[in-house]
Amino acid sequence: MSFLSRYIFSTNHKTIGIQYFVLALTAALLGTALSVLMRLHLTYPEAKIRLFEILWPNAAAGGVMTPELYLSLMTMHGTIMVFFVLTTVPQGGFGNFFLPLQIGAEDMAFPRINMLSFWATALAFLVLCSAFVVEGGAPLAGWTAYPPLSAVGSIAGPGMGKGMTLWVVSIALFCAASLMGAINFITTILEMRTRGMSLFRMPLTCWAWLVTALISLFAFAVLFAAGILLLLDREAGTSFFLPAGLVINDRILDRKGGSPLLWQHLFWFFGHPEVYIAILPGMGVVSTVLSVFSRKPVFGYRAMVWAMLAIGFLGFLVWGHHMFISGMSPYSSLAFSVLTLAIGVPSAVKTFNWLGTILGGRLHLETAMLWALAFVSVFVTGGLSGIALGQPALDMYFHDTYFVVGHFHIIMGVAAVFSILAGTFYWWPKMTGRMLSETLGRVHFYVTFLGVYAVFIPMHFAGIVGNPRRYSDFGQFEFLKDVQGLHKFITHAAFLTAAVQLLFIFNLIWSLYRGKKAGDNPWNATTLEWLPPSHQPHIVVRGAYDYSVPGARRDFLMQNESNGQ
Amino acid sequence: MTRNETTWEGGGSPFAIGAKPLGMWLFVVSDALTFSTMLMVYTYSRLANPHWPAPFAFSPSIVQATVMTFVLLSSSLTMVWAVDAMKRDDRRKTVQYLSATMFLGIVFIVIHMREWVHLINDEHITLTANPWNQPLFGATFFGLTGLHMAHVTIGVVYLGIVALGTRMGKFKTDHVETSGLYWHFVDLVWMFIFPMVYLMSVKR
Amino acid sequence: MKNATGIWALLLGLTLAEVALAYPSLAPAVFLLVLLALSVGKSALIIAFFMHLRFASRALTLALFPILIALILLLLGFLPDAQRVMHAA
Ligand code: HEM
Ligand SMILES: [Cu+2]
Repeated sequence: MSFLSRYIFSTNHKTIGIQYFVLALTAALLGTALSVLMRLHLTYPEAKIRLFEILWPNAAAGGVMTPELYLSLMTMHGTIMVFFVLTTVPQGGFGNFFLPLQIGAEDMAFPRINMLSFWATALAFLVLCSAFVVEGGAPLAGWTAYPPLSAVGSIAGPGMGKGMTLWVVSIALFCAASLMGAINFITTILEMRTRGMSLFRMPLTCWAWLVTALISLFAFAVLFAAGILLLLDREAGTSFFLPAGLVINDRILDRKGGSPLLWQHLFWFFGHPEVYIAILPGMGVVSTVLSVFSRKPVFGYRAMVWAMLAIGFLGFLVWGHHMFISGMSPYSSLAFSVLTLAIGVPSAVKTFNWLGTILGGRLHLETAMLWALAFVSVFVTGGLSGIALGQPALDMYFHDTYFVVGHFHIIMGVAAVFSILAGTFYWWPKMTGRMLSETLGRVHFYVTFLGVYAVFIPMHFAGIVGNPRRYSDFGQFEFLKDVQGLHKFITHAAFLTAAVQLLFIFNLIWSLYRGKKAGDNPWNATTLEWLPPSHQPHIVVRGAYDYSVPGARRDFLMQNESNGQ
Repeated sequence: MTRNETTWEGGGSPFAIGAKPLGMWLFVVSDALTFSTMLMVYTYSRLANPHWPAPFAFSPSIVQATVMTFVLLSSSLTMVWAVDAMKRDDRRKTVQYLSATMFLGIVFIVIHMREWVHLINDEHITLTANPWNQPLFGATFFGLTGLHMAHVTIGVVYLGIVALGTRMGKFKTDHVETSGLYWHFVDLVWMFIFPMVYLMSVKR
Repeated sequence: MKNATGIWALLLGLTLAEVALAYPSLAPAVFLLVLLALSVGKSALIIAFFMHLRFASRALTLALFPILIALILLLLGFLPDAQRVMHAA
């Protein structure tokens, strides 16, 4: 096997999983760097910062960012984080590596399509990043790309020409890649399970990957259509999203007949399910990690499965809660509000079952377990602010304020990242054969955990004061004078939290060379990926969480172990 | 053990159709939602613009579109025969039926192109403009039919590959069956585009 | 094989019926509903007989279609907003 076919154009699921992981790690570093620059500008809007000038000689001439530059950084930050980190690692990364191992399959059902979907994702990332260097720079429209401004080209501002087009192309590619991935995951889970691995014996991670793939299969299909239409509006002069009588930058547009609301519907029909695409795989990881490190079966396994299916389905019914202030009929608002709050029920089922899992267990507070516990904490915090936002009357006020920024960072950003970190600490020994340092891991954990709360909780307060989001400078608003201090605090907490991530990167690299060698099953877990490699198919005889089975010879029974004696 | 338990307990295919056809079914379901979205955008645009034009005269547009429907339906029939022949392991017949299907697909594309040219040249309907000043009429028409035509074109190429693989003895029944699912789906989508786009806008 | 040819003839017939219905000037809403009903019927025939779903396991049908149909119906939720488009004076 040549270098190319082994490491680059490999069809092996483990290699592809690692490729996704590395791609997303790159994306995460870039996205974090962008957020640091944004906070720097927000807090010191007038300061002349040499670094900005070096990076953007035109858009930050003299070391001060233009508002447009700020918005382009924000757009790229959001897009990179949502698509190329949160949608990529938990499914493409962990899923590809561990799904076949956990269900006892040799590989994914369609290895070549698997390779294709990775490379399409990588290409999409390159296309997106190239928006930084084209004329006009990166787009300004946010990760939601609302028309009309996203649909009219460069008259809407720098970056809304070529940069915005590259954004749409990148997202369309990403859709295609995700669809291929989803087809692969579902087929693999349905067709390739080893003997005895009935659906209800699968680890919850596999269930989570299945439900996520099902959501992707439908959500990305809709976003794909929306992307094509936006591209037509931009490049071919159609007006799907453009009404009559628009005046942009003192120019009257001669389009008519379309509706920007149509994009909002299409985007959020994808967008809300997307937030579950980001978080469900993490829920699977957390369920498993809590069980392993409490030495107890997952509490209410079946309820967990049904809750995930319910969340997946209900997730498609609530897109309107992002459009409460769009002027929709109050009856629609009411319906969307009730459905939104209904998701709280399966979410609460999961939360209580996590608590039930650790209740009375023998907790081993390794770093992986700390991350999983922290996930539950932030999931509850973010869910509570979600309930506030789900009330149309409150959301009228909160919409487009920092309250929303706080909400989705806590529940989508932070929760998903915590689950990724839990997964990394838990599975790293399997991926590399070495352990990560627990000491470094713990320092990283405590600083990050306190850090993200210090960053995102104050944002809720700023939002309650009425602080709008997507502004590059709050200096000129009298009513925001009082939150300037708060923003300074947020920025410093953010710098600290970002800096401590280097410790994590260092831990990864250190472990590759110096980490303690891991045995086959360092955590004494029950699922099949922890068996030594074998050419015989494993035959499964029990569920995925047989910890502390009474009368068994040790406190865990692997899924293929027939007898506990 | 009930039947349900045995089929779902692993070590085999619960749907008894194999991975490739299942993968194609999943693609079809997803693509169906993409097309449904496009049709919903079309419906939305029509509702938003009260004076929607009705330019399709009986001849040539409706006649041509009806012939196209017949062509596509017939291509589905030859496709069924191709799968049938493959199941009997008659590779020669399979390749013949696949070729017939591709031929009908190309006929569909050719008539469709003529229809487009007629609309553009004679009726002055383009992607962005038309005599009624309803720009979304052309946008939705060419958007929908264009996306469908792209599917037919990809389908012809795909069937070509499958025919070649079958002739060289490389491909199995699975491959032919899977390409058949795709082809029938493209046919099925037209069963919605034809009435919703053409018949809802006939010139009376 | 006979079966498939019969279905094909039926599909052609239904198509002709659709075309014929286009000319008596039915109310648009009625006509649309009739057309959609016929189209759903035609696609059901294609799915059942050409795509052989009728001969596949019931589980496959249940796995594929209920969600798809539910989601397509959900898309109808966009339509109330179609009335709220700005028109130039
Ligand atoms: C009980 C649970 C939840 C409720 C009731 C809820 C409610 C809401 C509402 C009403 C909004 C719109 C606020 C506005 O724009 O004015 C919103 C925004 C958002 N939510 Fe949630 N949410 C919940 C859970 C989640 C979860 C689990 C995630 C992700 C994993 C999430 C991610 C987001 C994101 C990303 C946004 C902002 C989108 C944007 O405008 O850019 N939410 N949420
Ligand atoms: Cu939402």
